Amino acid sequence: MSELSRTEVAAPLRAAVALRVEFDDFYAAELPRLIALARGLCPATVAEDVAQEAMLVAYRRWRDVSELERPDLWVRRTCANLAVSQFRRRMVELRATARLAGRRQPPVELSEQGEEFWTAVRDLPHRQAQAAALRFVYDMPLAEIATTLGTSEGTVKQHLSRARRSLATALGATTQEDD
Amino acid sequence: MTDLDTLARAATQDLLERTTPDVRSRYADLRRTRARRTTAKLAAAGAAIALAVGGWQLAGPQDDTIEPAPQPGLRNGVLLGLPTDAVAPGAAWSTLLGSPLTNLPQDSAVFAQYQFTAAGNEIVYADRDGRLSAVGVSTGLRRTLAECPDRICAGSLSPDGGTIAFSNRDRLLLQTVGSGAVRTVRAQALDLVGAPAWSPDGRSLAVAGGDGLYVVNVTDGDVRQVTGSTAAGPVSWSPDGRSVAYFVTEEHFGQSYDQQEFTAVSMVLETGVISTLLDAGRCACVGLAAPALAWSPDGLAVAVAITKDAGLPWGVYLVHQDGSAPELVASGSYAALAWQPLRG
Repeated sequence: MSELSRTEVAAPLRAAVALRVEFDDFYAAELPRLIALARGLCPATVAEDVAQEAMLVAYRRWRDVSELERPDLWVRRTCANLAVSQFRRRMVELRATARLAGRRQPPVELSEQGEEFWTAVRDLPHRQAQAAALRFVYDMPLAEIATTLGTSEGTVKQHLSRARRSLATALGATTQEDD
Repeated sequence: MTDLDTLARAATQDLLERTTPDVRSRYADLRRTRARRTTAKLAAAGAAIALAVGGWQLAGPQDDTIEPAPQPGLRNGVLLGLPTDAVAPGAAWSTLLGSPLTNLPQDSAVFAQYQFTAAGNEIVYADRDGRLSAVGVSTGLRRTLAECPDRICAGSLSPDGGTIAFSNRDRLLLQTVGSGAVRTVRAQALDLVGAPAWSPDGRSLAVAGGDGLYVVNVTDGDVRQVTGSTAAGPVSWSPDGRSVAYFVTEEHFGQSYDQQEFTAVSMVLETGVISTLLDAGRCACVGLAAPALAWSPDGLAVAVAITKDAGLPWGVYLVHQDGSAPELVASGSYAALAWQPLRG
């Protein structure tokens, strides 16, 4: 086999390895806050699995996802959607059942005030909850939330404004209008 | 009074500080899960080929009519549907066909499915305390059937009322009502999803998994994968026990989000012949329910709740055995259906 043909044969393998390394880095960078996002939108028992499921989709489709301008926003959107999707979350809940049964440590619980706040977020309508969670967890600007949720800045602004009003009422807090 | 931003900052800090996953071990989990699902899909493909060689027609010619004969002695009672916008604790189910029942569960959990008992006199459901309960539709009497494993109630009651079957990843748990004794049936399948559905004779269970649709013989524990990786629940048996209705799904990758495309189908288990019932639309299923279905107790129709982007307006349709056009019985989006059987 000539040097050239060896290179040709090796090229796809190298590309696959490069993709794998790229995903490793992406996973390590994104996972912690992705779990926090899921935890804001889901009960503790399933949050890790929701985030992991979003990562599994990204892993399976990494060749496509890595081509996107912002793979990080894509996986956050997938996670946020999964967290509020009735159909898909049920699947994750069932998978979580077995995993939790074999786990030594229970899922991490929040402080009483933290739990109260995030429970109020979860009680919001889905889109408002997603916008609020992305805002709080990632400190995202409106434009980035809009890109993540696949909607307009105006709509996001409206979601956040309504979310803040509802949260203030639920938590007995004062609020100022969002930017 | 505290400012909302102060509360939000404190709650977010609390959340981030307590969320410290072991990334290395979670990554190892991810790779294992990926490998396991790939293996299962290959196994499913292999099983399909083997069955096809053996004369089965898993993906064979499509009929336009529902194959099984009606079950004599059963007639249709009330058809209930759970409106998507009512999916919440204690949400109210709507009566889509028949006269409204006097008593419906008042404490059902979010996502709770309703199942009528074989006699049609009780509704079985998951309550908010993580138990599987039943309420008498005419008496209002409520009884607890079982504590759900980890408070996740993917369970259903056998036709004789004596056993509850729960899905739990790669196994089915059969729990005796009363004693609570549990027998485990280990499926070769992985990631069972949704409540198993009992066959009318109580001898088999059909359940959808992440990697296909399975029929389990309750007596000897034999597990048969009857379709490949694109099946999704809920699963509903024909009253004669010869066929099951379920959804075939196709995933569409999107810049915005992935969507599932659903087609309601029925399969004659003995021959493997699949008949298309209805295009049930597509959704990312965010804030929208995935489609639902239920076979009529008299066996003459299947009720299908479709989601958006189907060829028909949003609603619940009856797909009749005689092949006539689908009949709209309720407009709007419904997350679940349950059809009451009546004797005589």
